[in-house]
Amino acid sequence: MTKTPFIHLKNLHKSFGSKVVLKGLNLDVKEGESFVILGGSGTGKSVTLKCILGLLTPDKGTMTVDGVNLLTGEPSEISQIRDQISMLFQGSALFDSLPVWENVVFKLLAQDKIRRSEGRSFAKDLILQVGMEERVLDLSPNELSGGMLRRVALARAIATKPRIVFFDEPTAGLDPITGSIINGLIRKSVDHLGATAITITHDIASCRQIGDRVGLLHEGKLRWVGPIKDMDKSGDAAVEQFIKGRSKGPLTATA
Amino acid sequence: MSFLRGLGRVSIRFLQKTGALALFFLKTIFLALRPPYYPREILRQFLDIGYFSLPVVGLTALFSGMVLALQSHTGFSRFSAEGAVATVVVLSITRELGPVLAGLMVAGRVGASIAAEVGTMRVTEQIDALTTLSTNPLKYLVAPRLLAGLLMLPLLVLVADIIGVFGGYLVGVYKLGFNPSTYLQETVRYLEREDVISGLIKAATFGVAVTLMGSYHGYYSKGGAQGVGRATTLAVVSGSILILSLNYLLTAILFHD
Ligand SMILES: Nc1ncnc2c1ncn2[C@@H]1O[C@H](COP(=O)(O)OP(=O)(O)OP(=O)(O)O)[C@@H](O)[C@H]1O
Ligand SMILES: [Mg+2]
Repeated sequence: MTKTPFIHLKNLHKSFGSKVVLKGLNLDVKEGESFVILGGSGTGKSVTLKCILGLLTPDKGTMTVDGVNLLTGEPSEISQIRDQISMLFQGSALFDSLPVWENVVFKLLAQDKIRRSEGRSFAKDLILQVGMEERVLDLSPNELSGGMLRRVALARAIATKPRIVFFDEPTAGLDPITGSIINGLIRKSVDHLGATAITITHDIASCRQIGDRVGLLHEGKLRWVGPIKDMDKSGDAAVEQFIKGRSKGPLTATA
Repeated sequence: MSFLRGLGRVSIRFLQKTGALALFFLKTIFLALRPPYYPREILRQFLDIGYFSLPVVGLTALFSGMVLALQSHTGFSRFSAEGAVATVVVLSITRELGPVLAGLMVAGRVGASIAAEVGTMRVTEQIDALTTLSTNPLKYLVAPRLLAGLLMLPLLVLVADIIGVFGGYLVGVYKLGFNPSTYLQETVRYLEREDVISGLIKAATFGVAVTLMGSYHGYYSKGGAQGVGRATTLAVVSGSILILSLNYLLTAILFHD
């Protein structure tokens, strides 16, 4: 039996009204691999992840994760798979009605994996792991800087020891140094968990730091896929254009 | 022909919206019935919707009771029926003004803030985040708010009834020169239990209507800050209209004899 890849998206289509976003996207990610999706604004990177998470339903195509078909499989199996996926959202998406520590252990509390009384000390370990001080535990997310928000969101994403982690533009809006620290933390935690990761970014530096393989999303499809080290000699005009950040080439800004 | 088509389109849109709203409501109730329950969220909403609405609702009731005493006195004195002032005040407050005014104030205060909070959570992807953290957003966000509306509005209205009657008493005794004990006797003399209870049933209905409108419009808001603003407006307007129309319907049902 030939093993289907751990995460396997085939011929994915998604439109919003008349706006076609995904047009036959294919994506294969091996277990334990760190895959990076590059792409311009509005090309459907977040939409792709949201389809896998079940937040959006694709119009057409198949999605399997660990052999479970996410569209036609047993509901209990599907939710079991999705339970093992964590997501760091583009804007961090921390709950501003809750203090930092409750954000970090939210899912563990929701699933009764830990008691409330243990929650704070559990959160403390994670907060230290992502390089923050204990005093942020009781702050509200709206008292945090952008970099701190991302760290807390990262702590929340890894708190459940997920098998699969998605990072949606983890360094957007951060200065290069903070961005590089976040990338380092991401790489470290993913390696530590032995997790499979998909990271979305338009930041080439972050792509090189985090990824094993990379794909460029363009016009609803992954246009070029290959190992990070081959990125500079891809021979693909669009990839070159993206790396160099030129305005002329096959890529046109959609947003 | 094009008129008919337009009419058809409007009716279909209306039915679609009503259907979506009903589905949203039923799904939330269905989910709310099974564990886990979120006692902390529920308590927070009780405080937010019940306790923090007290000042607004209390003030509204106070002035309504006062003006009611003044106006009914003017009216009744034209045919020498001043004695009925206390009765008119207490009946109007418990049966109509208490629930309706409290409902409208809560629609402004609570409906708007629910729509803004839930709407912001929608556009900042916090609702998506809830789903990925094994928490159903309808159950976690909407159900506690509906429950708080259902239970807190009657309590608020009970307080509003008392304060409103007290407002009428103040004007009656200190401005219109009624004897204090006579005024109080007149207040309770013709008051029946159904008067109060019907008002509380109205209040519970309005509480659900207001929190439902706030949650629904917030939940489906899109398009950033502007979208949240629109959701807030829609929540207040639809909540208020719903209160006034439900009030008529409930009055017709509860007092049909
Ligand atoms: N829920 C939705 N309803 C309607 N349109 C949507 C929705 N979600 C996404 N879109 C549209 O789909 C397109 C792709 O959105 P997506 O969020 O995936 O972009 P992205 O590649 O993540 O871009 P960015 O880098 O700016 O985050 C956009 O044009 C957006 O307007
Ligand atoms: Mg995005």
